[in-house]
This record gives sequence, structure tokens and C-alpha cells, in this order.
Amino acid sequence: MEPAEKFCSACGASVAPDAPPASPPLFAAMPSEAAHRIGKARKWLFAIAVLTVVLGFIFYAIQKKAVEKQIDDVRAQVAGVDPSVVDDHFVKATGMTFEEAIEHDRGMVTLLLVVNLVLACVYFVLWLWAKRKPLPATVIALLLFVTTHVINAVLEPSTIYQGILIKILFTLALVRAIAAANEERTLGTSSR
Amino acid sequence: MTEAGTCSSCAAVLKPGAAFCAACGRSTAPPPVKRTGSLYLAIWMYVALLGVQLFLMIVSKVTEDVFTAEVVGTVGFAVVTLAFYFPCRERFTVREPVAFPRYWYLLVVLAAVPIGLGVHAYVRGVSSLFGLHAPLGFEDELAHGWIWASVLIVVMPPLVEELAFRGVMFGALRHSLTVSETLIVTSFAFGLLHLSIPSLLTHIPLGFYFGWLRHRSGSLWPAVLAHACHNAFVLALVTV
Repeated sequence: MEPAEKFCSACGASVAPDAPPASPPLFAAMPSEAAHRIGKARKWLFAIAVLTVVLGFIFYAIQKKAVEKQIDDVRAQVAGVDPSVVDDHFVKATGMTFEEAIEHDRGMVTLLLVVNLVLACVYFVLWLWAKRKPLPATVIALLLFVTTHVINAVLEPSTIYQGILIKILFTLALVRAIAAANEERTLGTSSR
Repeated sequence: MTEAGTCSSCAAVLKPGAAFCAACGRSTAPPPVKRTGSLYLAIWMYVALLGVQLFLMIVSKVTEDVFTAEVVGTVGFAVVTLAFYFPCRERFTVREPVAFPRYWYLLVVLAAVPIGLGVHAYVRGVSSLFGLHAPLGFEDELAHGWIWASVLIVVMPPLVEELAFRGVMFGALRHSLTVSETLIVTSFAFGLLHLSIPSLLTHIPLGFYFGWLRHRSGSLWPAVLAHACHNAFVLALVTV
């Protein structure tokens, strides 16, 4: 090595005690706009997790009441009919006996609650993960949110306009956070 | 480097064959090409595939002909995947194999048995836990005979889904994410596009496994084989 050289040309290590760092952290501080967008998306993720739990219990209560009322109505309708005739009718229509159909409907209501709780857990985990890895966490959150709400819209078209403002704001926040996290990673501030 | 032999950062003359600038310590290697647009292409492809799945759902709901909807859906899925793959296949072809000995193909086939048993037990467990009496699936395909069932369950989905998730999406995301992040995102996308939240618990690990095979081998074929063996085994379990 020559005396004037401050860095090893083979490995890049500093050889002079007063030399600046080999790779100056030009982008070490995340641009405040990107940090702001990611922080905002994280707040939305937490809010959606809480909202999913709350709405899950509300929908559970509503659905349970509706299903029990439906069961009572059907029981009243078939009160005087021979149970085997009722079962034959149900098996032809649904592939289940009368009691199996009741058990199935009640199970679906409980499953709906469990699904909402699982979704809330996923959003919560993504909220935690987004602090360390904002790009993959926000991408997954966007895919999850869009998919669940589009499925809901197809199964129950009346849900399209329910909470439309929250849906739009959350989607926008995620899209902006993805752009910010992607930009931040492209600049090289994140470790790959 | 701005010009041959000088550092792009401080313009000092570089030593021949130097990996770093001796004056400022900067690497002389050209910066890696990061294709940021690939991330958005992967997201748009997911949205397009979701559109196909929803179209399939609507068609089967309106016509009550699940079989035709399945055929149309499979073709639509393939068309969308190829439409994204062919125009920019060089961008999506990421090969960074680690190690995949030939005898692992045999392990992949054998692994389908415990994995398939686990998935089947989970589905039965959920059904029994919540008192669900709905059929376990594949009735519409089997009603048209074994050949159609094999094509629609064992042959087409592994080919099309692996090309979509482990081919195009994996390659596109790999430009912006690390290997483990890419595996996680593609497995979520794979699980979500099956449009069933309860099955996320089985499909996300499955997607991760198929993605890992693709990463280890640098090829889609081990993942296609694993997917096909899994589907074949589950089909056999359901029908037996």
C-alpha cells in the first residue's frame, strides 16, 4: 500500500485512524416524509386490528340472533310434520338432515367470529412487523385487506358501502406506505 | 464509476483491479440494479388473479355450475399469469439456486403423504369443531370422471399456480425484498387467493414450502411436483 492511501483497495477497510467511514451513511436517516407515511399506515393497521375484533363480536351477536330466529321459524313451520319427511326434504335440498343443518348454521356463525379474530391477529402481527420491515408488512396488509373486502362484496353486495370511507382511507394509507417503504429501501437505508 | 479508472464518488484514480477506492473507500462495483417497478407489477398481477377468482365465484354463484366455472377459472388464471410472464420474463426469472440434490425429488414425493394427512386432518378438525356438515370438496370435478378431476386438481393448478406465485411473483418481488420476505409475501398471496380465511392456516405454510423448494432449486419443477403430489394425495383421501 502507498502511504497516501486511506483505504484498502481490496477490502475497503480504513487504514488511517482519521479516515471517514468507508460508506458514509448518506441516507442513514430515513426521509421524514417516508417515515411519516409508514407511521401513519402502522396506526391504521393497529386501528383495523382493533376494529376487526370489535366488529367481529358485533356481527357475531347480530348473526347469532338472526340464525336463532330463523331456526325458531323453521321449527314452528315443521312442528306437526313427521321428522323423517323433514329430514328427507333437507337432505335433498342441502345434503344434511334437519338437525345437522341447524348445527351447521350455528357453527358457521361461530366460525365467522373465529375468522374475524384470526384476521385481527394477523393485522396485529403485521402492525408489529411493520416497525422493522415496513415493505413486506404493508404489502401483505394491502393484499389481505383488499381480498377480504372484495370477497365480502361478492358474497354480500350490501357490504360494499359499509365503512366505505375507512376502506378507502386505509387502502390509500397502505399504498402510500408501500411507495414510501419501497423508495426508502431503494435508496439503501434498509438492510437487505 | 463515472469513467474508466476513476472513482465515481471522489474521482480519484483507481488501482487496476481494485474492488474499493483507496482514497474514499467506496466500492468500485456498479450499484445493483433494483427494479422497483417489479413490486407494483407483482401487486397488479395479484389484483388481476383476484379478479379471475372473483369472476369464477360470481359465475358459479349465478349459474350454479361449479365445474364450468372451475374450467373457465383455470384457463383465466393461466392467461393472466402468461400475460404478465411473457412480456417481461427476463425480469421475473430469478435463479439463485442453493443446493438441490436429485434424491430430494423423492423426498418431495414422500413428504406429500404427511403434509396431505395434516391438511386433511385440519379440514376435518375444523368441520367437526364447528359442527359443519358441508362436503369436503372435489364433488363437482369427480362428477365428471377421474380424468377431468385429475386435470383440474392434480395437473393444472400446480402448473399454473406455481408459475404465477413461485415464478412471476417470486421473481418480481425478489428485486425489492429479501429471500425470506419474498417467501412470506408469496405464501400469503397464495393462501389468500384460495379465498378461504380458515384455509390460510394450511395454505400459507404450504406456499412457504413450495417457495422454499423453488428457492433451493432455482427451478419451478420441484415445487410443481410437490404441489401435484399434495393435491393428488388429498384427492385420494377425499375419495377413499
